[in-house]
This record gives sequence, structure tokens and C-alpha cells, in this order.
Amino acid sequence: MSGLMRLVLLHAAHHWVRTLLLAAAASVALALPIAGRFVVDRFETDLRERAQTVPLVVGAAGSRFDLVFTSLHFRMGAKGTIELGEADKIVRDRSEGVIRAIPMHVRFTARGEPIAAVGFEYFAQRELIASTGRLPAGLTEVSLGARAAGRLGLGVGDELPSDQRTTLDITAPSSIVLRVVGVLQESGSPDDDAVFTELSTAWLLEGISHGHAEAETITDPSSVLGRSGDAVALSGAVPTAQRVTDANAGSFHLHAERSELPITAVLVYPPSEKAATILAARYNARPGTQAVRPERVVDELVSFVIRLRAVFDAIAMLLGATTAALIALIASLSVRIREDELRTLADIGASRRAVAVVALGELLVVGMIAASLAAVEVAVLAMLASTLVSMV
Amino acid sequence: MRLLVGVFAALMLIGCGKSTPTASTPEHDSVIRAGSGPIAFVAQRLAGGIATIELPVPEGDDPSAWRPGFDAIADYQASMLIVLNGAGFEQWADSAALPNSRVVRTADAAGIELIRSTEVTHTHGTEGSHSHGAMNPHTWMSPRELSAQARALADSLNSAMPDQADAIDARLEALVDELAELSLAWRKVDVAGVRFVASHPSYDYLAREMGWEIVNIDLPPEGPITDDPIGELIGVVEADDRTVLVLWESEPDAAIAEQMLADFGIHSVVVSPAEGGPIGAYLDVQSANVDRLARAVAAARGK
Repeated sequence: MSGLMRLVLLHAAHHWVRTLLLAAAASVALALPIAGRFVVDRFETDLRERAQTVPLVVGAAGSRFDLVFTSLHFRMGAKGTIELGEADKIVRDRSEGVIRAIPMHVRFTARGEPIAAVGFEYFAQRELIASTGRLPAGLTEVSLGARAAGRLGLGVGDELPSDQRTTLDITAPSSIVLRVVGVLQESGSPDDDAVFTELSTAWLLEGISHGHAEAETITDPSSVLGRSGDAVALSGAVPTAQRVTDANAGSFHLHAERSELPITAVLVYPPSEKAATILAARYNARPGTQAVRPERVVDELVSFVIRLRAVFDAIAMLLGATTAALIALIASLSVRIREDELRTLADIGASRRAVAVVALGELLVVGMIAASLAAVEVAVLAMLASTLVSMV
Repeated sequence: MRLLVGVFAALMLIGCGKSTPTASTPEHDSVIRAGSGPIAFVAQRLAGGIATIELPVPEGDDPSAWRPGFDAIADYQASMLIVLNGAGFEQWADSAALPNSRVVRTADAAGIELIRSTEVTHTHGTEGSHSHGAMNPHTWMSPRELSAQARALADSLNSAMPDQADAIDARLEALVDELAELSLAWRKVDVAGVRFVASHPSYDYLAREMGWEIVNIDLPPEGPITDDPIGELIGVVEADDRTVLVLWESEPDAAIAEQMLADFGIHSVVVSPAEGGPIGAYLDVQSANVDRLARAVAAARGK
């Protein structure tokens, strides 16, 4: 190391607070646009990858974004429902080959985590397997996504109360106790954040099914509106079970025809593009329903994101230019403060180049530290990109 | 600097990595599992020898009230096809996690016009539509409806085993012929002068096919029979000149049958709904039903 560089380093080390502050400011200005691009790219990639896993989603008419994000990312957006019979009809229609149609219902939460009530084939389609316990098989059984299990701090054998949708409506179905029978292996997808259950549990949460004592045995006058030879009319005051047990499991019953039960979407896997087109046309032509291709919906969303990214890039460039100007200002002030010191160097015979190295070497040191810090910041943010995206 | 670049590259690789599922779930085995005896019989006739047919419902259990444990549900989940009667008969299937595309609810798939059951257990509030078990699921008692269910099942079997489609279609035609013969046998029973009362609404589809008039009155075969159904039964006897013949799902308590005959001239006959196993028993049970009914009708008319 030359004597001049040693002099520069010693000076930077002597004023280490100033050096580090300058380097940190510069590193943030350098790293933010690059890291931002990584995060946005990961966001786009994750969205597209997830969208590509489902060719067609059929649901109630309304926002296509809500339908896709409710069905694929378990966001509580979609309000409307269609009937379970639609899923059966899609499966039964074999005119274009065998179609897999997975009904799902996403409208409830349990301690803030989305409850995804799905047809059993969902797990095979997504290659989800239980790391402990098993998949849900019956009423109120749930298997937790890996991240959801971590956040909830629950495992096999624990209980999880569902959240009430409204606290103001006393006639709304009460909270139901869900039984954790499994925790799923981490998949690196939104499935890690959901509480999975069987569809019948969703109808229990909706209040369409419930369990209570045999109607014939209920004697409380406030619970019985009337009796006839073959029927007992019960009032809404009949206490219903909030927890399914071996003793009361047989008392749970549906108050609707199976085909009329509500679902929020059907994930459809047609055997060909032609089959997908026919199905989409059929449901888009029918009032009250829609069929969307998640890939196209995500493309539409991403085009907005790309436009936003251009704005963020411009802001980042402005931030970088401002930071560079500030550092230049600080450097010029530093040279002015060190004017006597530099003149002494010149007086004792240092060349003009040597004086310049001593004066501007500090900038070089700050730049090198800033670049190193920026590299680490970008790497850390890139590593956390998936987590950051999953939190969006 | 080289070290920094290395660390940066390593961190980038870790950051960009994405965990993927390491194992896939095997989707199904090669077994067709049924939810009730009659539909297991149809599956056996259509695909026996081509695939294994199982009826997980324990013999003697009522398939509509049976509640499978987790092991039984896991078996159903692993099935190549899950063959149910549908129309709400297998109540457990409404709250079990089953693979939708491999479940065939044959009565629903066949588009059978379901009969709304008159046996309503209870309602909630004043809304009449809030009743459960409202659809009568006993479609298989009608040979015509069971033929339609067999055709629906054959469609699903052909999709699941396209290389066996010709064999399945040939078997279907043979089965439809057998069911047509059964239908003819039922039709040959001369029911003139007899008024049918069903102790359980199991015969509505058979009655619809045969053009019989039938009244459903809830009468437990093992007794005791309370005043309300007895009153209804007497009402039927008094309102009709025809001899009343009660169709029982299983042998009624001898004392009850004798008392009904002695006091009101009401005859009894067992017409088994053949709901459970064994798998191949459907036609034999129905032939025996036809014979018993023919004899009972003749006895009721005093022939």
C-alpha cells in the first residue's frame, strides 16, 4: 500500500462516523432501485407461476381480480357464490374429455388466517402432503399450511376457533371449533398461509348445516314452534353444537340440497384448450357467473405493476442523483476544511497528483464501502423477496 | 472484493431458490368402492373382473345411517371410482372429503326426477323449505330408475377405463335386460283390490314405475306403534274398500302383524329394500320380494 493510500485510509478511519454515514447513504441510494426490481420481479414471477397452475376459474359474476386472488391466494375478496352443482356439472360433461373440477369455498377466517374449504383433489393437484398428521377428512377437521401453523403456534390435536364474521348480528352462526389433524409440508406458495378444511365445514360456518339434539326430544317451549304427526318445527333459539364430537357427529345435517350448496369458485382443469374455451364461453354467457383464465388476469395486473415500476425507477434515479449531489457537496466542503493540510502537503514537495489523491481518496473509500454495503443489502432483500411478496 | 462478489452470488442463489414439493400424492388405486348394496351390484355387473368392487359398509349396517371412520374414508379417497346411489342416500358423503371427479352419484347423474319425501323429521322456524332428508333416495327399488343409474355409471366407467368400454357397454345391455325382466315380474303381480301402505317410504319409485298407489305411514317393524300412525292406518282402512297390505322393510314384530290382521284386517308382507350387502344380492332379493308380494296380495284378496 502506498503511503498516500495509507494516509487516505487513516483519514477515513479517523473520521469513521462521517465515512460510514456517507457510505450508508450512498449504499441505500444504490441498493434500493436494484432490490426493488428484484422484489417486483419475484412478485411478478410468483403471481405468474401461481396463475399458470390453474387454467380456468369459474365463480360468481363480479370482479375478476377478486375471483382469482380469492381462489389462488386466499384473499377475502370475492363476495358472490355459485352452487356446488356447477362443479358436478363440469365433471359430468365429458363431451371434450375428462375434466377435473375442484370446488372451493373461501369466505371465513380462523384467528385471522384464511379458511380454505376445498374439494379433496386440491391436495393431489397441488402436490400438498402432510408433514405431520394427515389431510382433513371430515367435518371441522383442518390441516394447517406450514406458515399458518407457525404463526398460530398450533399442531396436530390442537383446536382452532373460527372467527365470527360479524359481532353485531346475533343471529349469525357462532364460532365453530376446528380440530387440527395435520400440518402440511411447506410448498413455498400461498397454500402455506391457509387453514385447509373439507367443504362441509364451510357450510357449517355458513350456518347451512348444524347439529342439535333430536327434534323430538326438545321440550323447551321457546325452541319449539309447533308439532304435528310427522314434523317438529323448531325456532332459531335451538342451541346448536359448536364442536363436533363422536357423540354428536350424527346430529349434524344440511338444510339445503347438495347441488344448491354455496361455493366461491371451481378450479377447472380442462383436457384441452378447446374444452377450456367452450367452458369459459358457457359460463361467461350465463348471467350471474364468470369463467376467467388466471394467467390473463395476472397479465393484466402485472401490466399495471410494470407501469408503476417505471415511476418507482424514476423516483429512484432522482434519489440517486440527489444523494450524489449531497456527497459531492460534502466532499467539496471537506476539501475546503482541509485546505491548510493540503497546502502543507504541497509546500513539503508533494506533487499535484499526490495532493489530489489525498483530497479525493476519501470519496473512493466511501464509494467502495457503499458498493459493498449495497451488495449485501441487495442480497438480503433478494433473499427475503419471497417473504416480502407473501406479506403483500 | 472477490470475497464480496462470492458472498453476494451465494446470497442471491439462496434468495432466488424456491422450495418445491418433494413428493407427490398417489391419486388412486384400482378399486371401485360403492356406498350401498344396489349400486355395488350394478358396479359388479358392469365392471366385475375388470376392476375390484368393494362395499365398505359393514353387512347389516344401514348405508344411509352408516358413519365411516377415518380409515374407511381414506379407502374411499384412494378409490378409482366412488360409486354412490346419490339423491342424498349416503348421508356421510356430504361431510366427508372425497375426490369430486371420481365420485359418481348415479341417481343425480342419471337425472332421475326425484320424489320429495313426505317424511319430514323437523323444520326450523316457519320456512317450509328448511327441511332435511326431503328427497326420497330409494331410487334403486325401481328397475327402470336403476337401469338409468346403470347407464350413468357405465358412462363414468367408460371414461375411467376407456380400453374396457366395449365390454362395459355389452354388460350394460345385459344388465338392462335383466332389470327389464325384473320390472316385468313386478308388473305381473296383480295388485287389483289391494291398497298398499309403506311402513317406510322405500317404495315410492317402484310404485311410480308400476303405477301403484301407495301411502307412507311411519311404522317401526319392531314396534311399538304409537297412536298417531295407528290412527292414520285406521283412516286408510276406513276410507278404502280395498284390502290394506302393509309393506315392511324387515320382518315386523309377530304380535303387531297378528293384531293388525285380527283387529283391522290389515295384511303384512316384507319387501326388502336390499340397501346393504352382500354385493351381488340385489336381483335375488328383488325376486324374493316379487314372490312374497304376489303371495301376500293373493292372500289379502282371499284367493
